[in-house]
Amino acid sequence: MKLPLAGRAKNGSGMPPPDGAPAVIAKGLTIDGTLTGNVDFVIEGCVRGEVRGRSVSIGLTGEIDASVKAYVIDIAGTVKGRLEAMTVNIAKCAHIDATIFHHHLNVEKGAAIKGLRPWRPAADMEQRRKLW
Amino acid sequence: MSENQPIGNPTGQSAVPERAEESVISPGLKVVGNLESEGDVVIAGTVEGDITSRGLTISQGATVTGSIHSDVVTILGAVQGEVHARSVGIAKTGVMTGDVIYASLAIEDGAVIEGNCRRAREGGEPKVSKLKAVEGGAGKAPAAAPRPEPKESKPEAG
Repeated sequence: MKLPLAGRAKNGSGMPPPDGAPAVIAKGLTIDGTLTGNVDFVIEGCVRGEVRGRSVSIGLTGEIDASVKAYVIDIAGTVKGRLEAMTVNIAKCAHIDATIFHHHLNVEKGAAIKGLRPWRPAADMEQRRKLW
Repeated sequence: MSENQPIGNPTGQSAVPERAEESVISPGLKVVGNLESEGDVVIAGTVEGDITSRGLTISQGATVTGSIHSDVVTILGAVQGEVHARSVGIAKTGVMTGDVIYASLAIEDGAVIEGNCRRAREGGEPKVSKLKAVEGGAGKAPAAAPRPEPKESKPEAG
């Protein structure tokens, strides 16, 4: 199965290997709660709460109202909340209303972004990750 | 970022069309909270919360703690909680702790069940209320039920 945005997840340096296969939150699935694990997430459904993972790819139909923490976050859908990642990639079709803590931020022309985008040094991001 | 490679899918369609409705909670993932899905869900990790879905497969090694409401449930892992489903299948590796309310049930040799198994009436109508409806005269009376004899009218004195 080809994963959306999967190539972008390789941008993160120093990522550990995942503990298992990717987790797929398909369109039509809604989760209210906390998702944690050293796995790659593909989110095409709806998540409210908190997501902590290795990488998080939010697809075109994905809707997130949560705190998201990962090495790499790819966004093509709708996101509200707080993001924290070494690398954040934002596609042109993304709609974001969130605070984005990052070290690398890539934004395609046309993306709708609202919120603060504080840059942090790599060492600071590593320190934050230890507190997850 | 490479200019030649857009982040999103250029066709505007999901890149997972063949299994777009199936969600996977993979091994190594823990979910604390409720899941509601219009499609099928495969649990290979850990879920602490209630699950509502069309189809649900709990893989070997997976753990679910909470109530399950699905159309079809297949249990190969461990479930602790109530299961409500039209069709329930428990494999030999399955460990079910809690009640199972089903219309169709299949249990493989070796499966572990700690709880009651109750067959749900069609349409969800409990047995008791159906009997009451018969007794109320809406349907046919049971053959064994005694019929009340009509009382003879007493001639008036005088």
